[in-house]
Amino acid sequence: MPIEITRTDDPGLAARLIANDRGAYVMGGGTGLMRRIHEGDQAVRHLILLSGPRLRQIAPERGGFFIGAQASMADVLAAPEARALHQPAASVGAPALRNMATVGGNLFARPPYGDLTTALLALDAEAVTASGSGEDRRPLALLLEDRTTRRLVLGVFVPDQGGARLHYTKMTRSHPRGASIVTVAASLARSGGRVTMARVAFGGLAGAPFRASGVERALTGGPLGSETIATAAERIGDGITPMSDALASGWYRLEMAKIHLRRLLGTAQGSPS
Amino acid sequence: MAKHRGRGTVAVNYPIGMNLGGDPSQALVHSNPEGQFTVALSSIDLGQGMKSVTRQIAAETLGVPVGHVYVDTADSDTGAQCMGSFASRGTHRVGNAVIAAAKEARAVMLAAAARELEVNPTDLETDGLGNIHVKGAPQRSVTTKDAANAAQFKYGESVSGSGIFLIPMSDVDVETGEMNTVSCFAHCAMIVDLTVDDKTGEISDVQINSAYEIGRALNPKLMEQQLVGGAWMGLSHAAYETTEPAYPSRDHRPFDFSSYVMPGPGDLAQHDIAILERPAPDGPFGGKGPGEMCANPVLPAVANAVFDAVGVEIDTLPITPERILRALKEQRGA
Amino acid sequence: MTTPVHFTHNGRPVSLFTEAGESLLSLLRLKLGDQTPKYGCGQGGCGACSVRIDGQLRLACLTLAETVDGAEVETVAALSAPNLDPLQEAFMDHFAAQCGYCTPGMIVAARTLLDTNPRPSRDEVIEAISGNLCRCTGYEPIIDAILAVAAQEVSA
Ligand SMILES: Cc1cc2nc3c(=O)[nH]c(=O)nc-3n(C[C@H](O)[C@H](O)[C@H](O)COP(=O)(O)OP(=O)(O)OC[C@H]3O[C@@H](n4cnc5c(N)ncnc54)[C@H](O)[C@@H]3O)c2cc1C
Repeated sequence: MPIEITRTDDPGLAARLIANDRGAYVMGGGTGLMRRIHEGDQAVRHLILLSGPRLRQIAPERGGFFIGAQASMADVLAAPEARALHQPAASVGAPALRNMATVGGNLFARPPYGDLTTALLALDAEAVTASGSGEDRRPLALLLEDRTTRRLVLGVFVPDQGGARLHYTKMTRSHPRGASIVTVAASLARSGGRVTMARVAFGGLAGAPFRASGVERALTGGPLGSETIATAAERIGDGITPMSDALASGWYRLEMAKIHLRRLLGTAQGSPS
Repeated sequence: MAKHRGRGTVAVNYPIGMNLGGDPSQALVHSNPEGQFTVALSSIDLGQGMKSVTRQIAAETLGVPVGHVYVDTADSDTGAQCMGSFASRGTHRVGNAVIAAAKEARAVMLAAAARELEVNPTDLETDGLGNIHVKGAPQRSVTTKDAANAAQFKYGESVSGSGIFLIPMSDVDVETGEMNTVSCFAHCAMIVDLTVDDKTGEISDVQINSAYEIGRALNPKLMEQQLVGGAWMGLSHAAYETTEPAYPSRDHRPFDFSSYVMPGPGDLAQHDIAILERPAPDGPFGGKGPGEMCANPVLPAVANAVFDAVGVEIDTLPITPERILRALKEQRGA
Repeated sequence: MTTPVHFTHNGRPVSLFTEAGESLLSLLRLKLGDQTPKYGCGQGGCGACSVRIDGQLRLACLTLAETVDGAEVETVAALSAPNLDPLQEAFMDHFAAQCGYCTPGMIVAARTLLDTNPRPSRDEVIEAISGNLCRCTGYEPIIDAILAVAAQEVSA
């Protein structure tokens, strides 16, 4: 079936097209979509090539910074504002892929992909979506949970982290590049030797990246001791079904999530608050 | 985290070629009007260097520069029959066939040169630079091009040759079960050292030390590269790649190069190689060929090294971190 | 649906029509006859189709052809004219190609690295070629060849 292509700089039009037609897709870098087209995926019938300066912008905004949905991983790596995301962005694919893969596309990537998204969750990012001729904001976690409503993402807003620090790690089978066995992103704030805030997200582990509230609760309130960390690690599996694929079984993924959370927080223990 | 270093060793006697009712290969060689030579083979170069090595063998036998030889492979319409590029047989079988064919072509070329120089062909030698001259009298010389042209245009002779090399079928002795299937063995000894992380099952810091006895390294650089690249693939088979990751279940089969896992450039083993040359009596210029033996030893050596490191014996390939971790948990009784 | 695109291909302006959904790789190989970028997997996983678009390393198989309108597209063919790139010489000297299928993509990736980072470390070389699969060489000779060119270009 021939593919239809619409070029536009009107986000409202793009939002309407994808909301009303499940065969319509906004094009990011195309690293997921073009592949589906090559593979003959008949579900992709209409590509929307949306352009506009805001979509590639990375700039400070009140209370944080904004990254346009069409900013590539390479754009993120080149932007000093987005320093918190440099390590996650650098862990996506290889150089050519990073020049193409966009932030918006990463939100909807096929599992076990979604490394940048995992970090964005731990940073408590908000999804900036098109609404009529304006913009709407909602927690990224909500956008990811609601997979039935097809929204146009204009970008993500990352709030200032105050005293919190992001700790990030990604486990792969091949090196230096590979798809995730598990990706762990943890943002922790500490004061007076206690953890005052913990946001912990996992990618690769269970389909789409998610926040692990049980882990967060277990970490919050007390000192970041080995026992706390061990208790928190046991909460990772709460309410999820770890995914099995060619890279690893769900059993192994969950085991690795525990080990890597422990190792990651073990290094956080030693680092300044 | 506990990391354990382990060492695995392996020794290989590798039979060159196979023998299911005889193992022949053929070659055709002819000169063109420029006095250059074409070798036609139906043997396939799949990256292992068949073209390079048969080209060298033909040039050496003909007594002409390597640049005067072109090898046309992998066309079973224009090349004579070959059993194929497998069983590490290419250099040995095809190389011998090329020698036989090139000798015939050389004889015609020398006969024409002898008539041009009015001497006996047995008094002639080639200098490998494109000249044929009288032994002991280099000034009495004719170029290989002029000789090949004279053969065709003056004497009506075809400067060409065909060659076959056959390892005949070996019958089984019904009394003893004895048979002699191969004439030539290559050898390898390998030591693999590696580290196993007992919390993740991951293997890292792989160091390979190997020694290969390959007859004669007809092209030493190509040989070395074949051994390095082959060991990479061996490591990949040992610890990474599979089309059936959940075997015997057929679930979760890979569908791209992210899910079909192979070692990346950041997973390379440090590999030190020693090449021992003991020319094979029936090999082309003594050559045997490293063939499959460059990859195979890595598999048992890795399995042995993992056993040495953490005491688990994995008998399913590939030896993935997950398989190691599961075995470790069973060992600890978890 | 066909759409006209205008871009420069290895420095030469070209104009042609693309089919909707067509990749840059198919445009280059089938319509422009530049077969130097290879069709490996068509999934972005092998890097054999690596090209440069406005100087940036990209995968031609995953690039929608009409998005290169107005851009400068370079394949390995641009590097080998009129003389071979030093990387191409070094790949030969170091036996960095066996079957040769990955070589064009490897060279484009390596040239892009050296243009922006003339003195890469071994790890930086590894990172730069990490999207390019090689099934024959075990990567070692490729890494050596790239490091050799870096040393030579810096000292020159
Ligand atoms: C070889 C290879 C390696 C990879 N490695 C990694 C990796 O290590 N880590 C990782 O996280 N990912 C990886 N990926 C997956 C993918 O490339 C990235 O996740 C990338 O960020 C996807 O972005 P894109 O712009 O290319 O998406 P596209 O293919 O353009 O789009 C993907 C999906 O997102 C939708 N979409 C895009 N933009 C918007 C928007 N603004 N609003 C609403 N919907 C939108 C599209 O409609 C489509 O459904 C890899 C892919 C390949 C091919």
